Formats: sequence, structure tokens, C-alpha cells
Amino acid sequence: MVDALREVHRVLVPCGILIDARPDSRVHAYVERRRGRGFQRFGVVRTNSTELKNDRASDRAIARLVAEGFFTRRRRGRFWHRVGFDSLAEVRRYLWEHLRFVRRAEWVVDAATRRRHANDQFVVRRAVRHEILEANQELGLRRLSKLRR
Amino acid sequence: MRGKRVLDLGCGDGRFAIGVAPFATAVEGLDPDPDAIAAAKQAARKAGRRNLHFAVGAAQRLPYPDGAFDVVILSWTL
Repeated sequence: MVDALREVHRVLVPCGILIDARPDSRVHAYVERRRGRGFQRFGVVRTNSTELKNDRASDRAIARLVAEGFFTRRRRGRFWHRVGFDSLAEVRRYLWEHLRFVRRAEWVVDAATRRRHANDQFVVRRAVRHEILEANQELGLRRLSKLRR
Repeated sequence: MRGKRVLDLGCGDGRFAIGVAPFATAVEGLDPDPDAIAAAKQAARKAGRRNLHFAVGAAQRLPYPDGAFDVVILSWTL
């Protein structure tokens, strides 16, 4: 991952921009039922342990390149991404097949409520983090030549 | 993105690159999955964009010269 980011730095012009956007596994995802103007929370969805490790490795790789002077952090933020479903069964199928999430939600409503609203519309709401980094050409190249020595 | 040379690294089926193409000067999409790149090329043909190119490749060895891009996008890639 660090090698890939060094390659990104190489192909960027001085002060070029790297945009990194990916699911934010530090925040849980939620299963929510659409109702009127808002949403009712039905469950919490955790990221599986393998993906958590991968995400932390990505964070470390970026932090390392920043520490080595290849990039400067310019801006970061988070937004919510909603995926829609026509029933609770569709949500369950999605979670079962999804590679990032654990296969089952932890429900925060009782079984009777889930049955009553099983054919309502649902969303899986998850956080997406984004960060803008700027390539530091001179400093990065100096570090790169040191690393190659 | 306006007037920039953009690389979408890990572009998958190219939907993001195709979305950026109307604004950018040139957009390159790179992904290690040949099937995804085939789908991206087909979608690009449908979109009729001439400033959009896709290739199979790995992020560890980018097939581009130094300083080839103004912006690199890692969307769901790292």
C-alpha cells in the first residue's frame, strides 16, 4: 500500500491532489426503516474484523507517507451514504453477501416490530470518509532518494 | 476537476471516471481486474467520451510518466 502511494506521488505534478474516499469503518453502519420524512433505526451493522484491519493498514500507510513528507493533508470529512431496499429480507440478503460487513445486523427493535414492518422500505446508512492530500514534490523526492540509497 | 488530468486508480467499472470525464481534460482509469476494465471500456464507448481511457494495471507499478496527472482519485480503493 505504501508502494502504491509512492507511485501515486510520482505520477502527480508538484502540488497535485490525491483524493482518498472510502467507507469509514470507525463508525457503525445502520439499518433504518423509511417513515414519513425520516428514518427509524432498526439495527446496527459492524464491519468484519478483516476489513477493520485493512482499513487500519490504509490509515497507517497514508500517515506514513505524510510523515515522510510525500503528502500534506489539506482537508478531510465524512458523509453518509444510503443504499435503499424494498424489504427487510432484501437488507438481510445484502448483508449476507456483503464483503465488508458482518453478516447479520444487531437489531435494536424487537422481533414483532421487525415482522410488522418487514415489507416496508429500508436503507443501510454507512459513513464514507474523504481526505484531500497535496503532493509535496521536492520534499517527497528528497525522502525517496534517501530511501533508495 | 475542470481542466485537469485525472487518474482514477482502482476504477472498477469506470462509473466514477465517466462521471468526471465531462469536466476534465483527460481521464485515465486503471484497475487490476480485466473484466472490470472491459465493462468500463464498453461504458465509455456508450458515453461517447474521447478524453477517457482505461487500462489493466497494478497500483504498485503505474504505467505513466512522472508528473502525468493533476489529480489522482482513490475511490473505495485503499
